[in-house]
Amino acid sequence: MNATEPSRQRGPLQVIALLARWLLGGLFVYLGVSKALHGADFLTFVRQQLMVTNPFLSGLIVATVPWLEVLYGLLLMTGIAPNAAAVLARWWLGGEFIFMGLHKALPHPEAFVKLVLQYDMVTEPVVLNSIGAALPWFEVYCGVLLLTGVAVRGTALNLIAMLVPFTLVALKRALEIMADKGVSFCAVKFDCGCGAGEVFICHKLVENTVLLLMAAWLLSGQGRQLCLRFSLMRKKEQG
Amino acid sequence: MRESLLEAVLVAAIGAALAFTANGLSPWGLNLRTNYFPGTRPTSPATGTQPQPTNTVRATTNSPEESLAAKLRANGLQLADSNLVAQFFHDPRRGQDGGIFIDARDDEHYAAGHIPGAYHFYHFHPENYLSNVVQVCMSAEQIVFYCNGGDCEDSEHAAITLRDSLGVPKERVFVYGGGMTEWTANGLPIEVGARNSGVLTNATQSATSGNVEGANR
Repeated sequence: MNATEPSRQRGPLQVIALLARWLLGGLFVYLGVSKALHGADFLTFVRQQLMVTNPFLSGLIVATVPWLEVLYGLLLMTGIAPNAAAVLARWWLGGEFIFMGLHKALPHPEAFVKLVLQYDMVTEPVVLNSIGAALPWFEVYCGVLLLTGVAVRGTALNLIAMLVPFTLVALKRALEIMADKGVSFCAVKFDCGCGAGEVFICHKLVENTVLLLMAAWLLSGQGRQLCLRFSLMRKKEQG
Repeated sequence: MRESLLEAVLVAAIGAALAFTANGLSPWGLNLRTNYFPGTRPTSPATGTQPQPTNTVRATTNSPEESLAAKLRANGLQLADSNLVAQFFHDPRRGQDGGIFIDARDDEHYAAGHIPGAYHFYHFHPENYLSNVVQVCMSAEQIVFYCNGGDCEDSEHAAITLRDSLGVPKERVFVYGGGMTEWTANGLPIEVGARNSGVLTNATQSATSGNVEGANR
């Protein structure tokens, strides 16, 4: 390696970022292949949860989305077009949160409240109702900010602040169900309140890890292209 | 990082304000002060290692029906099994001054199929349903609440909500534990659409042909 090429000398943070990118890419490949191998399950999800009842459209989604995920995973792993990949991550994350938020908020936010109640962590009606009333719409709001590219890092930090505790309580709940029913960890399936109906916990953990890594990626300052206002503190940033 | 934190706080503050506004504007929005889950809650075996709140009923190793009966008793409610429900259903005075059924599920479930003649009361939006049930609740000898059965607790919460808000005597209030799932499994008639729509079906027919305008009545 030429000593005059500083860009090739990687610091610890860059190594961590590289490993995170590979991990994210690998997880996308896993999710894509998993959907392709379990096409019938994915079709059921598309029809029931995404409410795409048109056979042609649902078939098209099932045929293409898994391979797009694989392609995106490979894009991340190889490091080709990193800027485009970061913008796609922002849109992906934004779209996912808009969908999950709307799914909880309309038309039965009380169903989400029931799911929050099952965690036995909040029983005070005002607190419980506030979570059920505000969280779904807050997710939609964060999704819109990411899609349009407004206050990206602040939004990403909020998503991390929501995802980490939620993932931990879902994990705790899964361990309780595992102990109660005497099934293996990955066989635990329940509606965790994430807006996608009943899911296998292992799959959910992979999904949440992907969402967390994408949010962390945006927090690191990526995904600036096609943004309305990447930072609310624009003047300071330019200075 | 400091800028990101500041931005995150700003995003959170504006987001919280917008989220509560959206909830307030939504026709399905929640009332923050309402207790939608009145009564005591059983502690699940899975969470048994946690300290038990004082207002919970410890789940025992009894059968599910016994556990449910104990939970209902703790809330001042009576469990109605399928025999008792069938007896209420075939009572010629049903729907008048005899017994009434109240479906505690949401609009979609009610429209898809309910016990014939059942009134509708979805306790998450009581303002939409109260006017239809107040008078009949005051005059009925037995009021049987039901939802889907199984883990569904909507019937129990609806029963407590109506009983406490209207002052209905405890001995008149029942909860059908088996709910719509058991009713359907028993092949009993199901009314589709609005109350007294006349569109009837039953489990056997619905399993093979969906909604059937039947001559069950």
